[in-house]
Amino acid sequence: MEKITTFQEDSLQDFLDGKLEGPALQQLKHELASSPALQHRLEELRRLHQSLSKQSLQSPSSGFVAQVMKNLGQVSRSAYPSPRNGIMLLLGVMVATGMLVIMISAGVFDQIGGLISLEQLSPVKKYIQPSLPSLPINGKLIIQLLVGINLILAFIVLDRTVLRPFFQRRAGNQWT
Amino acid sequence: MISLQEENDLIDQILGGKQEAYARLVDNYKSYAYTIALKILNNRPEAEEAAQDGFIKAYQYLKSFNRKARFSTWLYRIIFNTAISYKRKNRVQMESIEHNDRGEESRESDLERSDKEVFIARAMEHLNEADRLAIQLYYIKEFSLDEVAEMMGQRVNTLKVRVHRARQRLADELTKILKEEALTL
Repeated sequence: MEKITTFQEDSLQDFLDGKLEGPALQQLKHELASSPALQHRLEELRRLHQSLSKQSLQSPSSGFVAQVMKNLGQVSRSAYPSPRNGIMLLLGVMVATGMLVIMISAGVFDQIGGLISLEQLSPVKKYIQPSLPSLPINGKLIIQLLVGINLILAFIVLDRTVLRPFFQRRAGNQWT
Repeated sequence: MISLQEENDLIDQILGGKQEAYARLVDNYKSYAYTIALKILNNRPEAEEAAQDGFIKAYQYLKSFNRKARFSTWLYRIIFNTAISYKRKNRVQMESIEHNDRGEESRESDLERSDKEVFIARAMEHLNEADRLAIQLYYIKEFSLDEVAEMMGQRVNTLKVRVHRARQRLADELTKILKEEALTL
């Protein structure tokens, strides 16, 4: 039986995939017409090609989408602290903020203030020779700033530990 | 199937925080994802788990999805890599179990399949893993060489060679098997 070359084998496969055209296609047709071995090989490959093409898509179980959405909810939830820890943290932040506000309104920080002379700082004095200015310090303003930061922190904790998990759980329940 | 425009809208919604919109994408691609995982793992429960895991990863990395590429190709690559890592992870554990159970499982499934499918499955056993995967993924409905190459992280030409070589070997093995079957009749 005559031997089929690698080039002919590739041409047969390209032909089956519909990728052979122009002179290459004409050449193969010409060779096919005169070669029973090539015709036989084409038939073998065609049978295989048809059988493989018939393979259908497989379907997963009916609860596949619901399971993915449920797992997604769990993954999202585990990315944040538990609601219990979150609420404790939130309470801590709120208590600290509340205490600071009470202390501010009681005037505890009113006496803290004055000027910080940079020249008196020994490490600075050692390296910098020219005279440095003094910085004004307002204790009340610093504490008010801390209160503001605490409130922002409290909002972030509330969002991450209570609000987002709550809404995500609600959305996830639609798929379970 | 959902349109490209619809798909982009869904991605926008998901990135905007509407998690439930992801269910539509999952529903649209679940069969493709599951089939890819099944071709790699050859085990239904494991394939389902890997496909689900792949969808979770895709959700987590959705922000990094470059819209110039097709979402499906990007997703299939994640599913492919997840299934491959499942296969690697479980290979050692499964080897001994597979050895005992596979015979029974394949005998059972052989009964459900047509002769042609059984012969092809037997011929597939003679291919190396990369060639087997290449040809199986190529023949999953509507996949082009480009898509499979992208999924497997290979060059199109390399993949084409793999598919040709696998088909050649399969045709040879199939001929041999059919001859043996004819002799036993």
